[in-house]
Amino acid sequence: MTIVESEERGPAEDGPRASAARRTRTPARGAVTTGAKRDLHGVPLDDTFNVLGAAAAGLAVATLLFGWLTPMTGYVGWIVVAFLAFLLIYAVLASLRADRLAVADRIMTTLFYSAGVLLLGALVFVLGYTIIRGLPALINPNFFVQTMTLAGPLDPLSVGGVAHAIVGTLIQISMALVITIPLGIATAVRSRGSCARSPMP
Amino acid sequence: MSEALTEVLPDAGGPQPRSLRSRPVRADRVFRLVSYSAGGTTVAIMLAVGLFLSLRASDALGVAGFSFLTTQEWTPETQTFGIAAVLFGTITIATIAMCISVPLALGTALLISEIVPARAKRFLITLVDLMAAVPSVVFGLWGVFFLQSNVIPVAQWISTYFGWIPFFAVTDQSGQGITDAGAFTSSAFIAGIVVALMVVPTQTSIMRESFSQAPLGEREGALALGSTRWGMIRTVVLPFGRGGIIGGTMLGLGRALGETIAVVMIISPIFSINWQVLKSGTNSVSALIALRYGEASQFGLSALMAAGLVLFILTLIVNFTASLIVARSRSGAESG
Repeated sequence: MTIVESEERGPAEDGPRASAARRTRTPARGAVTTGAKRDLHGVPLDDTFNVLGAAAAGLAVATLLFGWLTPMTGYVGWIVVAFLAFLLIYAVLASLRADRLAVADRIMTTLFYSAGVLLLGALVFVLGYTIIRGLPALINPNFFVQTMTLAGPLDPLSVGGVAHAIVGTLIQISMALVITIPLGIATAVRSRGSCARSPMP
Repeated sequence: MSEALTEVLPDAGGPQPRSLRSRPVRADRVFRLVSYSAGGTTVAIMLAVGLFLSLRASDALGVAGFSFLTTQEWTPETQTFGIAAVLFGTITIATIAMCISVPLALGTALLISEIVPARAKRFLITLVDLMAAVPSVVFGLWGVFFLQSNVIPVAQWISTYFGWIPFFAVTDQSGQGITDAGAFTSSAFIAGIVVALMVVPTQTSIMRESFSQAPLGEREGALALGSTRWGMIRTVVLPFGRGGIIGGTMLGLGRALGETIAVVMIISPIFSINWQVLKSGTNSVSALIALRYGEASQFGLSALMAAGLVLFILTLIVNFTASLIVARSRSGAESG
């Protein structure tokens, strides 16, 4: 927003007065009205309300369908119906304020978030389920330091452990690494040197 | 090269171009020897696996001939054996796994690379890479003890309302539809879901990698022309990441075809082609080998080797195609 003042003076006219007049000066405040800086990050408020409203409506529709109106049962079906109703209502709400392209953008963003939540939720759940089911054995310290030599099938979890399996796994990993690391590095160096187009970066 | 140089130089009697051939010093020679032999060893091991399988399989293949690919039963003792049923089961499970994992991986990869802020992005990348390290036996345990009982109502629902699609129907011998829960356990559908969860982290990380390499100039060009974020993804990110999508899918497919322990834990093995994917009973080549090698006779072992050879060739083709596509698309994105 700076203006270089150079009116009615050519480059031939030089001297102290000319250079003084050619100073850079800022325009007076108030001459240009600038609005508040727009927030380019984050979600606009009305979109937040659209998401919340559509989610509430989706849950309500699913509950209504499953509890009262139709003979559908099962919580997996309930989740699917709720999600589909949410998508539909969200699209309708978004189309009140935005054009077709923006609605498609919102819907696709929602689908990407859903895929991410579903996938990561499932993976974390697999781990969590295993840990929770394994917790009764894991809290016994003998699980890590004893072997099954002296433990029978009817002994409680405080007898015996998987030390033998842990050691065996470590031995196998060590042997595999001793063989594969030199071989892998040397093969990679060799193929990098001779092949012009190597598949790996 | 040297001929061209002497042609260019008009003064043949003057100073001659010096020879550019270098004599490698001893360290160079040793390094070259070591790296060549290491590369050779790696290739030789791969070839040895194939050769060993072919040699041991030739016995059974000589007896069965072409019917090895078309017979469904597996009784090497009576000389009637073939992989039609197990190969069909392998491909069914892998197809179901791909149908579930590819949309999930695609959506998650786009979410991580395009939508979430930078800090969440790093966390999610770490989480996905961590998940790729979960052993398949853990997925198998989860599939047997949790997923099976919870997915049976879904399978029942699908077979009730979409039974008119042939492979969603669940019928008994006489063609009557059956709905009791016992008919839905240990099916290809359940095995496919578990295998899908196992391959999805690998697919996600390959797809995300290729999406993040979509050029910044084209992205900003699309946004500057007024595109929405989805428009930018559709016109820039997806076309540039096409190789990554195909390559990631096929690498996941390669792993899904060879997956053993999780499938063994879930399925109840049968030796007939079962088109009804929701119905109990399926099989896969790797499950067949894992279950039968302990009790196999010399000839039965040879038959199992032949089945392994077919699986080896199948996964080799899939993986080779995948790496070829990934390599092609990457160099194409660089030049374009």
